[in-house]
Amino acid sequence: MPKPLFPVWQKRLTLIAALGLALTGMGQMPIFSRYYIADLPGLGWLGNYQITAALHLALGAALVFLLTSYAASWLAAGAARPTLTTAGKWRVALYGAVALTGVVRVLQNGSWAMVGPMNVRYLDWLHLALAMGLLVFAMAAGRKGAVAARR
Amino acid sequence: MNRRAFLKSLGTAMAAAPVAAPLLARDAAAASGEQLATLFDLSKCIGCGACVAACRAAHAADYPNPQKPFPKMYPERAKVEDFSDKRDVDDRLTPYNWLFIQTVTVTRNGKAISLNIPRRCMHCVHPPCAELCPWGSAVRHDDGAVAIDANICLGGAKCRDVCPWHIPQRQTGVGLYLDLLPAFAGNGVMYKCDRCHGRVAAGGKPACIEACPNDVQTIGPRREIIAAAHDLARQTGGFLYGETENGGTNTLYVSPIPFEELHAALQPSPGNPGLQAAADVMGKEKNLATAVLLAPLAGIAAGILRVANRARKAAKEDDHA
Ligand code: SF4
Ligand code: SF4
Ligand code: SF4
Repeated sequence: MPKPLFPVWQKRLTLIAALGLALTGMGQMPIFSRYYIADLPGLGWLGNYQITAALHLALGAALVFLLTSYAASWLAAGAARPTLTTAGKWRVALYGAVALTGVVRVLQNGSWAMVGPMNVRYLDWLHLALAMGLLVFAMAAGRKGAVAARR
Repeated sequence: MNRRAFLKSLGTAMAAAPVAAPLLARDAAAASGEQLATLFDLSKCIGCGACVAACRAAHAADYPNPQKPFPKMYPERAKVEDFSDKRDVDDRLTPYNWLFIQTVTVTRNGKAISLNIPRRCMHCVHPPCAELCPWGSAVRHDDGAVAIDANICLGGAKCRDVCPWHIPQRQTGVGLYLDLLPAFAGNGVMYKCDRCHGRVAAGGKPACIEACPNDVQTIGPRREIIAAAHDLARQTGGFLYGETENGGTNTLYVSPIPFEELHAALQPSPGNPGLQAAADVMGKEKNLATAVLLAPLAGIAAGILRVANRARKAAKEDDHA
């Protein structure tokens, strides 16, 4: 039996990165301090934008690495390529779009700004809406397999 | 490919990040000369306040007009910030006063010297207020002016928290948050100097520059202004502030007195910024930002290597069969 193309540990890492990104992403809005969450012992860092922004970038790099490696393996696998289920296609679309809008935002802060200053809002809102969409999807269909069992 | 090899390729990409950082992430825009900067020759300022009055006249229509009573906010910690009954306050930054004059007296060679320092937003080259705004309401325009759009700002004040000088000022009871969840999210709108973005875009000059009787301030392309600031400092034996602070700003001050002394004499308080050696807030993130941009390359390499390794292993197993 060949080992699965996408090993369990890689999926676990993806989940950990995604949960961390959801938390640190929420931390970009001024809510953890307002709602006393950053007052809980051990959670003070959630109210520190420098820390949550740095973690969001670090986890973002990890997620983009994992996602692009899935994509490259999937494309390179040729005939051995597993088939995506409907849930799998949704997952690819949502993760891909969240990651893409995030990367465009990183470029915006560097020297490759692609979006006009007055349009950055649409990029930010889209990133937030996609992340919420992914959260809803994960709660509704997160346990469904992404690739069909091989016949 | 096994887990160790896979993670190693991630490690390699991360290790390459600091090297690639200057190439990838920053500062072409500032170097391109498109950005405008301003220079304050502090030795010329007499503290007459004409600039402050001009700013207030030019922006009267931009000031908030909150309706009272304000909606009650939850939890208790969300505090009202209200300057609507203190619109005349002009000795600090407020939502109704985007520029004020600090007067500092220091002793030099046994003599007391007073200096007037016009203070407003520094218009940073990498403004944390804009780059960390989660809502896209604080922006840096192509000419280098940093502005907050009062139409969509929710007043969370993150911009003030992350600004090294805590410049933006909040007014409760106005703005988009009133139409969303006024009790539970947002707290008004943040206000600060927009370097008269509208006037400058229309070919004019900032109101404070036009009103000054002593030509304290000049505006021009960033490169020229930096050169002029250095010239002035050299000619007068003066000191420079704003070129490197927070990684570089588009506001340069030249002073006959060292800024450490001025900072020590100031007593910074809310709306009354210091002149400290401000570290580069966004610079701390540039290696991580570069890692995000390099991650796809590492990911693609790792993904292809995995498939190649599987193919090699499968071929070996076939040989043994
Ligand atoms: S001085 Fe503060 S408010 Fe002004 S651009 Fe810099 S970070 Fe933003
Ligand atoms: S540039 Fe315009 S907004 Fe800024 S202090 Fe001067 S007059 Fe006021
Ligand atoms: S108008 Fe000119 S001289 Fe008067 S306070 Fe402003 S900068 Fe100083």
